[in-house]
Amino acid sequence: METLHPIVSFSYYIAAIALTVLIRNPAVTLGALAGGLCHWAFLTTAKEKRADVGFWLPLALLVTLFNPVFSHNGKTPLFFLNGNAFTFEATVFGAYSAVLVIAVLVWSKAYSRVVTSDKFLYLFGGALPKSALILSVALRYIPMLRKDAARLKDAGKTVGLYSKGSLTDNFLSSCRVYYALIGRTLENAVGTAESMRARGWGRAKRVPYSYYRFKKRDALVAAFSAVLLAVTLAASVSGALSFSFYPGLTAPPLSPLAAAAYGAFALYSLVPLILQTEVRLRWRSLQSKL
Amino acid sequence: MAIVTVKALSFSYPTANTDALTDVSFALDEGSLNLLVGATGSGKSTLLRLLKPELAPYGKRRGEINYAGLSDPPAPGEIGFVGQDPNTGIVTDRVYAELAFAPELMGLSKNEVRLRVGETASYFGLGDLFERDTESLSGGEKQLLTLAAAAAADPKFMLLDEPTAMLDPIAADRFFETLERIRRDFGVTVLLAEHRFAPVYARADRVLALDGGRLIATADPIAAAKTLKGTVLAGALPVEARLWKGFGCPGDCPKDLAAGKKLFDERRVRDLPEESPETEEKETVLSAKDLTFCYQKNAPPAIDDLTLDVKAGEHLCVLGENGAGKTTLLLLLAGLRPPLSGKVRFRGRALKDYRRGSLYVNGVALLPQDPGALFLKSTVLEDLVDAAPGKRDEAEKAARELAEEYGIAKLLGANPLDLSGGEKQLCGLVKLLLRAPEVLLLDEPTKGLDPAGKRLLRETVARLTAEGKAVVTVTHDVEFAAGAAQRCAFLFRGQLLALDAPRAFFAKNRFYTPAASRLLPGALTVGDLLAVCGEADV
Repeated sequence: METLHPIVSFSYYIAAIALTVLIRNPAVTLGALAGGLCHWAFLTTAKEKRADVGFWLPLALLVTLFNPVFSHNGKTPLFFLNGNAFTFEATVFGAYSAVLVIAVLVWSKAYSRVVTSDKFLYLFGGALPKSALILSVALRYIPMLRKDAARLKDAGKTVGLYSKGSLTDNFLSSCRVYYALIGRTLENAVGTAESMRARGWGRAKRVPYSYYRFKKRDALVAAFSAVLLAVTLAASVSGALSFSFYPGLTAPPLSPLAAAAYGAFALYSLVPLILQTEVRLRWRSLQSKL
Repeated sequence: MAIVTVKALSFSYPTANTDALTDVSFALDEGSLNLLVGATGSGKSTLLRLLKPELAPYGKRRGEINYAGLSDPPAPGEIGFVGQDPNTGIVTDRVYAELAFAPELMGLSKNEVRLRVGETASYFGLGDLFERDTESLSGGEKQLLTLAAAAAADPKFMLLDEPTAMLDPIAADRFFETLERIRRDFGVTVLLAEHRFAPVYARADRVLALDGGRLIATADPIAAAKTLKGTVLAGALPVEARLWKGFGCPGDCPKDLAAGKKLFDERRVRDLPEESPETEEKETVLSAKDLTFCYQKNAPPAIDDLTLDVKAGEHLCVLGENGAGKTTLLLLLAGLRPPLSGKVRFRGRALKDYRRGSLYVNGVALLPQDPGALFLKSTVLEDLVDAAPGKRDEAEKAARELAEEYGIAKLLGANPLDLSGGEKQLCGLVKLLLRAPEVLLLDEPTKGLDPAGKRLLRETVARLTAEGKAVVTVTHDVEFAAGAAQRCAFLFRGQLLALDAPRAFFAKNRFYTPAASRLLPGALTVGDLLAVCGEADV
């Protein structure tokens, strides 16, 4: 996924997340979660995995219980709480919501790992070339400002700032440090502007540079994903996938279209795993030949 | 063929009464390396900027500048410019974006831009840094990047305004080598303004010297040395030229170190005198014991088990490359970072036992690498008054007196942001001295100073130590340490590897040695060399 052209990886993730949210069908949601977890597994380290799971499990539990406590729809009461029914259907809907939330989180995590800010800028910098460059210039200033503020603070401490230990003194000292920081930054910005002008800024139309190229593999992945997406969408629009939770759980009949859509969506969410496996197999065969 | 011809160029800034440049004429040959020298304020930057139309300052201008072989007017990419501070020269957050900046604006196709960026990165050896954040680069890498970013536009003519002022000598050498390579490979004409010009002096095809806005020399290095010998710039000439000057300028100036050695060996009459060992036992004011410090958990230590005593009235120089931990050492000695383990004591008491701020009154003072960081107000006077203890009028009186003593009285009304590097440093030092410190810590004080500024710094340090103050300087300026220190130390990866009196210290070193010791092992300065030839230092 990481080596795909940004337009392909970006569209892939957006479509995956959109379908997961829009198609209200537990099978689809579970498929999305399963595929997402496969993808997540090879994007994160063991430590990150522990942290993620530690966050998701309590969240899932909370979401599952939240719904039946506040929603009393459904025809199968399990027990009564303060005179309100705690229904089976509401619990299932809660569990479904939990799976949905976790699936979206898993996919968003994968998205942020693969579609980095550079790739995002590359995609949308074309429409707004100047904003993309300005963002790059601004991002450059942040670490510089942070370092400079630390320098000013250190220097200030040796000449009487932050010396009284009181909150007001600390506050006033910080004000003076930031005031001086603004002056120094403006001075710096003049230099930046000169450096831009010296290299021809504002003279000619800019041709944004990128090192991403649309390869044959990108086209293949895009076409394959598009077909799977089309099948799933067609089934969804025709109503073949509509699942209802209230008053009783009603699954749609397993028509040929629905079956094809389940298969297509499962395959779609496994695209990252397929690509990853393909790369691994290629490596293994390469190494065995060496 | 001359690529640039300047005829009778004069320039004055709108608010100034005197000309910044007066009647300057010269021509630069295609593919030549031209060195522009002159004290701070002699008009070097003004001249360089006038030669680059996009950066030309606003003001009154007479005379002509003609370019041959460039478009008319020259396109931005045809004249490359590299300034003093790579932090302002770099505009974007990523290395590749910086390299792409100029090619993106040259009207090339997408594929041509891609090729140009890739080529430039390969030529300058930046492939490994390609996706790095520009802020994570070292100073030397940053300046190489600004050079590469300018070269990416395929310039015919390069202007460089003190490009190595912020670099350590090793990074500076690497920068000059790369510059020399693009000149040789592509026939780029180079005009290089430098204060620390000794390393490139012999390689230059022509030396242009400015003094008060007038061009006093445009000649090859050997002939230019004759003109420079009478000026303050003589102090920055290579060691062989300074030696020749000390001998009263017999014949031509030696063209390189080998010729200088021949001249020296002919005249040498005696050996270096024995270094008299320090007999007087001086009192320790600041001491560090088993000091260790890390910036991050699991990172290699920035300071590693370091023990050091600083004595009253001595000037201790700590040498080391960029990243050796020199600045960190000073932050620890000044109590601005708590050590991970070990202790720093001032007058026998641990720094952490000093109440907030009390360490910085009659205690320890730190002059940061960028002395501008000490100024928070809009005039120098306000800043000085702020630092002085006591009531407003007492403080102002003390500030004015000390400013007078250090010759900065005329700068009191100026905005600190408008001062030159040397002026900022002197004003910063005065600000620190108003708090009557006993230990002064100086972080790279010779950075960006012209020869006159360096001499003034040496005199100031000598005066402070004579008053009984301890001065600790961290620097990569070997010549300064050799000439000004009573003890020298070498820091490498946070460890103190050697600590001795200068002669003994440099005798043990192989690479970190002053140029004079290459003519006579053990000699520290040109003065030492002249002494063994029976000549007085001048």
